[in-house]
Amino acid sequence: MGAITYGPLVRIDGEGAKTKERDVREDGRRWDELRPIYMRVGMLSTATGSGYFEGGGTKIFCAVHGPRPSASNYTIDGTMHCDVRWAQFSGREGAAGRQGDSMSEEERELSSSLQRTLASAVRLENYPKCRIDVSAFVLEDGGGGFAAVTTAASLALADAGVEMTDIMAGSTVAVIGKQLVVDPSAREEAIADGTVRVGFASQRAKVTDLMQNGEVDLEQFREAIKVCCTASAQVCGLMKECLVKKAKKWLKKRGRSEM
Amino acid sequence: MESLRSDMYVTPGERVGEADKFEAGYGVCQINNILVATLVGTLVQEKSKGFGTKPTLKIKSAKYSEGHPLLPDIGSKVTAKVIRVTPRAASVEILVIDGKPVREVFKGTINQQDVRQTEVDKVEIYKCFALGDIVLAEVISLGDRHSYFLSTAKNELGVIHAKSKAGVVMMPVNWQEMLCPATNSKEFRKVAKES
Amino acid sequence: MQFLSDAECEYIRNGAKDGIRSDGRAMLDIRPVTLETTVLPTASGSARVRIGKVTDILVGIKPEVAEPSQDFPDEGIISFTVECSSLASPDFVGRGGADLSAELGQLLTRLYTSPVTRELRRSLSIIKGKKCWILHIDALVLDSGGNLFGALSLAVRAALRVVILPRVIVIPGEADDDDEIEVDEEEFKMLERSRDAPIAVTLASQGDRGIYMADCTSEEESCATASITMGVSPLGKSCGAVSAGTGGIDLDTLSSMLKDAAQLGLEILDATDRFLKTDIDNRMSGAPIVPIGFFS
Repeated sequence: MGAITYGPLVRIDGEGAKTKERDVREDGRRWDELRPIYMRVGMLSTATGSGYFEGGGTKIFCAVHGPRPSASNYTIDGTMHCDVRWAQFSGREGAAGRQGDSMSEEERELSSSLQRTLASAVRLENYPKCRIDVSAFVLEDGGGGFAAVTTAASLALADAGVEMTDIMAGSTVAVIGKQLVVDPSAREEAIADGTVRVGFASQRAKVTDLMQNGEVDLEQFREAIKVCCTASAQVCGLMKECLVKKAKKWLKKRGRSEM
Repeated sequence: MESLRSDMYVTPGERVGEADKFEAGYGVCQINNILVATLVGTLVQEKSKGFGTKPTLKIKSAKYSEGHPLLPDIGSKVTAKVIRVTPRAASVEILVIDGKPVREVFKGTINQQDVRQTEVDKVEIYKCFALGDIVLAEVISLGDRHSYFLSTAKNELGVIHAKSKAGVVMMPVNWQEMLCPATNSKEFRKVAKES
Repeated sequence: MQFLSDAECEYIRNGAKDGIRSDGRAMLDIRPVTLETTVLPTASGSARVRIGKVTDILVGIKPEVAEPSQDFPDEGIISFTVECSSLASPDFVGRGGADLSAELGQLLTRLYTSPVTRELRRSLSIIKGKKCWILHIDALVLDSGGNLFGALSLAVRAALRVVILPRVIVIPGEADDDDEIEVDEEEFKMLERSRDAPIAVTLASQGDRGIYMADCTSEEESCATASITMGVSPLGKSCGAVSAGTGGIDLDTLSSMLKDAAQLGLEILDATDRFLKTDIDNRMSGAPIVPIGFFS
């Protein structure tokens, strides 16, 4: 109901780099090019807010419940609980999958990582005694799954009307030999020497979450972070567009009902 | 920096003005000297309320009306349903806050000493509230970890809707009695004064 | 986690702005480190690291012959168990230390699954796809006074440097699959590639642009707004990095933090390697070694 669609997939063009024959990747992208992105908010009816992010073969649903009364302790600031799950069929190993199964180590780590990133922007002091639950579900992980979770979760929080001082997006860069590969596919991730993942708060221009796996040269590492930030900023731009579109739709609807 | 154009769409994190020119209203928060939007919606500028005060910037949220998410705050007028009565307190579920229905039900407690203004020590909760009553109350504190603390110690606060033992909606007689039209029996309640 | 009042935090942050820390160190100075190897007679390799007489980590290695994983048939396995004992902090009583233990274990796993330690893992292989060494590395946090990641990775590395494995003789069978192994309990060898092992360096940002410190005490940690932990290999490569804290770090600061972390890591690696070399030489030559003891 009332969800906006982005029509055909939005293609983001990287800047600079000339397309040379050898620069083209398996899927025809340039090294600094993101996969086509599709976003949607407010598609889940029972959640306070929801967000969907799709980038290439990576598909993520995220729902936000609350703020609702916290059952546990009295806290002056609100608390936020994040739950990141990979579907059994997401094409990724190490997923605990089914509801009720305890989370895998990795999922737990990513959940706390997501919590950290989001908590840096959510104004929890406005929600005393309350909890906000963020659950993200990775339907399909075609590379860069976690970075996309950050993006989807931000969309969902914004849709839920939770007060935030920033919008966060995540992005991944893989290092393959000497080459930095933006937004790697699952195959590219598998052959990479190392990957760098960044959670980026666009307005404050701050890195809120950093993760590096594998092996990366120091210089490459620093460069990769910059590239990640640029990519995240692009995604943030799209997120804003998506949210504003949705907002217009809501206001129009309210205008009608108030008449 | 001047204020952004009014009726312009903003998203969380967007700068909307400077703190020395504007007051932060709903959906706007001050970080250092900058006012930042925290919600998705349109920017609204309200004129300053008097001499020497600054105009207020607030966000008209797209999805929800102002005040969302509805959380009980000190001073909020709430409508609640009594779910448990003990000699010391009545437990209620908060259903409406400041005239707006909540998404999630919050628990509240009306303690013996907060029921009315006078003769506080002689209050008998059973003579003030009964299960299922709808009560108008005010939030006086965030309470403990289970519930918010509410008060009905004002003339206009108290039971606004109650059914008699016969299951018929009662009519107020005075500030502490209600009449069942079917059986003509009277029951005790802390009745809210009609306004 | 230490609880600090706002005033105390302010004190630490304001000091940091001027490059001053409460114990007199410069921003990137580390506290004195005490390192002792082969402290546990029952483990094949062990080390104890103390930083600034507060943080205290004990690591022991137990090797075992096992089957390699199917994904990496030519590599041995290094597995970690980190225990934050309730000795170290009242917060760790019961299940309180479980989260931190998991976090520490994950970082170590990340460092030791990185390609920089591939040769080290390969040297643990006995028969490709059939037999390999699995090193069970158990780390115990005895006392925590900040910089647990750094101390832990240092202790693990030192223990790996001195671990000795019994020599294994492969007895060829009739068919290819029938190879058998015999463990020679008399002869031992050290792990040559253990020098590849990385260490972790944590730098904590104190909120302001360009202000960050190394080897934080627990007080400094509890008022840090964000921190970066980076694994540094002896070749100066990054082999796993994670962030913590909700403050966020701007790009320039982050970039210079990484550079300083790498440099600091190399310095620590260099210093410990020099120490370990004399330590190992002394042990080899049978020179008398005065144990530091537990309560020095």
